[in-house]
Amino acid sequence: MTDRKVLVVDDEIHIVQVVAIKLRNNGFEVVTAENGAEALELVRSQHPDLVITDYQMPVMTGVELIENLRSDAEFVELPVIMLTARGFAIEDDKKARLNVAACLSKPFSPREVLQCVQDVLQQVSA
Amino acid sequence: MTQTITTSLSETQLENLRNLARTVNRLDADFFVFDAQEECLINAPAGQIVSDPQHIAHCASQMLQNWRPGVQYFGDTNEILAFSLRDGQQAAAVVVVHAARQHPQPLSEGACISGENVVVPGVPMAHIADLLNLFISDFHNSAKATGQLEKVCTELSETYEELMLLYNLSSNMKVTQTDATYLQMACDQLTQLVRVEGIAIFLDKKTDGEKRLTLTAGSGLVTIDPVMAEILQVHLTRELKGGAEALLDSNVDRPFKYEWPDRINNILAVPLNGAENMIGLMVATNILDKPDFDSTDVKLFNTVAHQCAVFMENGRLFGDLKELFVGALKALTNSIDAKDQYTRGHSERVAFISRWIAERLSETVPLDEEQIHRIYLAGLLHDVGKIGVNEAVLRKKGKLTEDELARIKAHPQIGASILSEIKQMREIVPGVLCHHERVDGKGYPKGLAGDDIPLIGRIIALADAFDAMTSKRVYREALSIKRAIAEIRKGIGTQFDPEIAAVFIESDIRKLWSIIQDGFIESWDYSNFNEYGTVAVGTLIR
Repeated sequence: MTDRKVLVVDDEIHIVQVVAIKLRNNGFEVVTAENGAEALELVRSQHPDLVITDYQMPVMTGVELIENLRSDAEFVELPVIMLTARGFAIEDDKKARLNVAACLSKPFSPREVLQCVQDVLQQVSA
Repeated sequence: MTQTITTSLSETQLENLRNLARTVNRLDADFFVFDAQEECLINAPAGQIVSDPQHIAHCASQMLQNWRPGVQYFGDTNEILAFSLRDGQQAAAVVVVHAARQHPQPLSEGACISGENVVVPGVPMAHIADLLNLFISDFHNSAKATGQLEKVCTELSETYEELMLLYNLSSNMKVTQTDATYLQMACDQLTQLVRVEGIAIFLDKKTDGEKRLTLTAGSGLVTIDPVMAEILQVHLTRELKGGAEALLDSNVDRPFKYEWPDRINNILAVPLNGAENMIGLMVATNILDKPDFDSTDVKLFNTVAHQCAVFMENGRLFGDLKELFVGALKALTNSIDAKDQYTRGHSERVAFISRWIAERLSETVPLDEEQIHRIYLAGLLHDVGKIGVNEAVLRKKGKLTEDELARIKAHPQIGASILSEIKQMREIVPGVLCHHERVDGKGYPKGLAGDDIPLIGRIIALADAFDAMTSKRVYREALSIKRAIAEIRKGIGTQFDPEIAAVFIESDIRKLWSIIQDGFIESWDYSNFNEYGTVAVGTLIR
């Protein structure tokens, strides 16, 4: 099976790096972005299999990023995992409307992120 | 041939090489990049092909086999420059530059050669070499930085996992959880975080009157048996007395300090400390991806062990308090019961029977541990109101006057008002108040009917009646169980709730009876607490 590609977006560089390292060490190809605009560009050019995005980001929030993605027919089904800072739990209906596959709250266990990515991709291919 | 691990260039690095290619092309030189397998990654001639591919490939091959730093020169007139790019110790790529259209010798600045092969004026070979050397140092600095960043992030990632472990441990400290569950969770989470072969927790438990270390929780492969554990505890105590934070032993740089079974390569043990003494220990053996345990591991294990110890101490104190409380209640109610020789021990029996019924009822009706315990306490306290009734009336042999009857019938109300003063007893009040109600509404004090009577009241009513029937009274002998059950059957729908009565009759009443007859001594079976040797206060007085 070819390496699965994951896009990680977060304005906090250490979060991006930690998640990227964990995934890379486990056979994933990872591309990273520090903001929504960069992320959109990378989605279009790199065609990742899954996107992990932060919720709170300046300029374009995670929600706005997903909305932008979903408005494009090509990315309506693209699985998205959201990272939320404690206290900013997304409401269930928003989660459903945006088709967010999973939500993880910070601080997170990198191992949990890996498991989540594997589970979501497993579900998608099923 | 040496085995080389394939390292490939990243996208960024390839991008940089392509940019370099363009710059080199503008200087009218051909640019080639080969990977460690001598496959050509970039083929960028400056114009019409003049380079001999075989020759170029040969240079690349040479570079890969004999690594030397900096730019190397090849060719009859040193017109080929090449250098290696490394990732740590491994070759990642080789760059070959063929300044084919250049004048073979380094020219002085400003010189220009006319003719077919026009050269960019004023660009000597040295310039190209400088350019390439600059690229090499940039490349390696950047690769080093990336490597360092990776290492930092891996450490950070581990630290996050540690944080999550400690967070989980502390957020799971619910007193109502059993020791075993908590300890097992601690072991499981620790083994995931610190890659060891096995982790085990041993606790001091009283078995057959003796205090011994028993395996209470563990993960992975645990090669320490209880006998070994005792020895381990002795060594650990010695280490701790000597000022160490833990027992740490291995034969990595020096021989073992203590003797261990063959399978052990390294071992770490930390104490679980109770209020006054060591109540157990946690031990880990054979760390997997490191040669030995280090001080970070010691601190982590100590933290986890401490959390576990605190959790258990809390649980024990909580259990002690509960026992103290119930013990005090029993003392109180026994003294009330003792006012009349025929009711001695009645409250404890009713409490026991009520709980018996509640436990069986919980198979069909939702009743949790807390509620069942409340029913027990209500059973214990149901006649506490009798404290307000004159002893003479309670003991009277003959028929009671209207007035005397009224006084006795007041006891549920009196009990309820005593208890409702106490905040923690309020949930028990309905059981005390309603234990003489009847489902047909002909009970007292309020004459409630059917489901208007709180469940707790209906349960105690049955337990109370059963015990009364099966006890000797001043006016009659005790009924046999068979008779008592028959009487209960008769009372279904009138005195007794049908569902509760059914549950009771269908249960093993003989067993219940034999437990009571044996003068049951209840030891509080919080499965985790009886190892501390505490036994309930209060025994059945007959």
